[in-house]
Amino acid sequence: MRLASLLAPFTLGSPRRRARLLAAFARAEHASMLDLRLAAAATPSPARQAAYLSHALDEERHARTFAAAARENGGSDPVLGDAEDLFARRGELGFLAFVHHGESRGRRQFAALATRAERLGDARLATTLTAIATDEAQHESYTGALLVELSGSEAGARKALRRARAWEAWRTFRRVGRAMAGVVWTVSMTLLYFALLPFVLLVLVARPARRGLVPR
Amino acid sequence: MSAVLGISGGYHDAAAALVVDGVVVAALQEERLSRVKNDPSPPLRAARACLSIGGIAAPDRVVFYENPYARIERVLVSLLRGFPRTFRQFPRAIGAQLGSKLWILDDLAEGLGVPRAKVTFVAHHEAHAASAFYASPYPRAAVLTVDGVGEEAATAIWHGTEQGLREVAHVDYPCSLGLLYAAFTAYLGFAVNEGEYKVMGLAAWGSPRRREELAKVVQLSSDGGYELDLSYFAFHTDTELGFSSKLEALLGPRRPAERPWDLETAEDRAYADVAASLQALLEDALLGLARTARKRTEEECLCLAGGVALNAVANARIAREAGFSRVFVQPAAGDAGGALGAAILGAMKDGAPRPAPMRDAALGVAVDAGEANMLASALGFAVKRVDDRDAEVAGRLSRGEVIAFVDGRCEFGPRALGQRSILADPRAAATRERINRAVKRREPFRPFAPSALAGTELRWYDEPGDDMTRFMTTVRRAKDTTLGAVTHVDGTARLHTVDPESRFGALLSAVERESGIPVVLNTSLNGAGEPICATAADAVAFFAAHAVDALVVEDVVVTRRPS
Repeated sequence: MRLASLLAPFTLGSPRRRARLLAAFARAEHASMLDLRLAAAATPSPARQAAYLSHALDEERHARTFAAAARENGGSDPVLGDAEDLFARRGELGFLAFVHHGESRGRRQFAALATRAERLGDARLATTLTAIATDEAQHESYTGALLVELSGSEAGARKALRRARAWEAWRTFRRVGRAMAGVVWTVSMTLLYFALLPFVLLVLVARPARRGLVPR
Repeated sequence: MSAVLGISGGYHDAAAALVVDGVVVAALQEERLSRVKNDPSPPLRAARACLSIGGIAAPDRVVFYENPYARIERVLVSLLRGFPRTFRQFPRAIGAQLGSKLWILDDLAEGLGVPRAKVTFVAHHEAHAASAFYASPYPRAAVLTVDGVGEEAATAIWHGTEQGLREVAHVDYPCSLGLLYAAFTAYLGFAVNEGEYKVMGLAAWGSPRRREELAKVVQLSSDGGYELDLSYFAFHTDTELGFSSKLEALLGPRRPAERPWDLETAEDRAYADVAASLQALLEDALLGLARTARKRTEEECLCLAGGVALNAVANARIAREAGFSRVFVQPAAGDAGGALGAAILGAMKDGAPRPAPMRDAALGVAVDAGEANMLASALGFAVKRVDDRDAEVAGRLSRGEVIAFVDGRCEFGPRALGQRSILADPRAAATRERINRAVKRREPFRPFAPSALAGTELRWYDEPGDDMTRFMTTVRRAKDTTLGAVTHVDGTARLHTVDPESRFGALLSAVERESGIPVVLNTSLNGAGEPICATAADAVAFFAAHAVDALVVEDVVVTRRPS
């Protein structure tokens, strides 16, 4: 909550930043929708299948709303996310803990941003964020109840949440590592590219491009 | 018993297909289960679903639809040929190849739990050619495969006989009609690998007045070959952009992707002219290739495959003008179909007979009406079971309702052929507007297809159905505007003829009893940016999020409760 409040003036400061943030939210909601759809297909419980599907429908609506808001602010960033298939990777309890944790964070973040948007005079964005934060609170509530049900106790639910937070931190660490490795890769491959100049000449002589219809 | 699993993937539209003892048992795109449109990832879900449908624990052999080692060689050679303009593309292209694509056979072995030695590959265009020829009803045929790029070839002519498939000639990357179309798709502001249909639909709104200018971009030769002037393109030097600034200098600035279409404006009409000119150019190029295929093979029948073969308008022109008596395009002509071709080639190599001709595309997962009932009830919708499903649907359609319709196993390929469809009355043009804007949330210029009972189509169209209308891969010209909702602005329609003996045929007969015409508007059951529905959960989710009047899943009818 505090971090979101602190960052709000920067993230909503200009239409461009606003569009980028809203597109990121659209991607996150879309990714969440995909994971919930996969979970609905995988859970053995018909009741939970219906709950995940209903939740996925909300996430889809949120993604569309955020994408439209990003476009209204001049954004053209991609708004489709990727599934992580958390149900298959973390099991149903781990999946639920992760979703609950994410919904809780989303609710706080959207509430803080709504306050900031209202202060900036953007009543429309503030209303949108408040409405979505309300949905997130409802999602947080039902996933919390399911966590207790599946883990068998409040203590079990707390343990699953601690694991979800630890796994998320580990995932963030790996993502940062991957991004840094990507930079190293790009630099080293660019250097290698120019070192391949002799092979360029070889390819041009030995493997010239064939044009037109080539008979076998 | 021999069970061979064919796999395509890695670039877009990953799929799996299962052939058991020469019978195509199942075929399914990964996107239908992952819910990621055009999902390129290794299709493990689709593969497991195919095995489950076939009751097979593990396949005897897995065949991938291209040679990953030849592909990486082509990528490397192409990057070196483009030196030094490829310096930005190099790290990403090599990263993608070495990071995942090179290991695809190992990944498939691990993911499917089969020994690595059982995972083999066939050539990309051979898989395409097999998917068309061996699914066709022809014992012998010329085969033309046209797509973006395989290992090295972008286009190939084949000769299919009782002895197998033999390559006759090919055109190598970077001269590619698929990448030409993709570059223009991007120029017109659509997403590549997704917006190509939109370009084809848009073309009907324009006039090919830029055709002469496009002759500078692609030169057609008298032997049926073609050559791209690469200075107009950037796909071979840049991973982000398909065209160069020279193309914009020739045709004007690219169209902004986010701007809504309005074909009343001169600006958008000009882009429609570019689409029409591109379509004319593509048709000329394909016609040249088809005529060459006819000349070199002396066959009477032609099979088409590759993503470009999904261009129904071009297919119709080839059927009319290339000199063949019959033409066949199977419904998953794009990369997804490569899985089918790979499976068939693998099975035939193991001694299986050639499969029977493809009669329908319902090769995917079956729907569970009971699950739809449970989920729809849980989400608060009104649900009832009906004794006469067809009469129920026909009655609703005659009252102007738009129906989400789900029946049996889902289709293989991008066409809705009566298993996962949105249905409506085909007569009122306003229905098209309603479905485009309120249901599919897509561009207003895009057409819808008619599904007509086979044998009745001459009442509305200039020519009877053929091997392609069964799979909606060609067009017919409408005699008048009676079927306003399914007649495109140029008077054509992507006609789907339906076997009267099939379940969908029975529905059309019920529609005829109710409304006097055995025709429905038929479009795929998906919203904007979504894959076509596969399961009951997908269908219920679609119904909940889109403005259709009812969802019919076999004998279960779902409606909204009055508020």
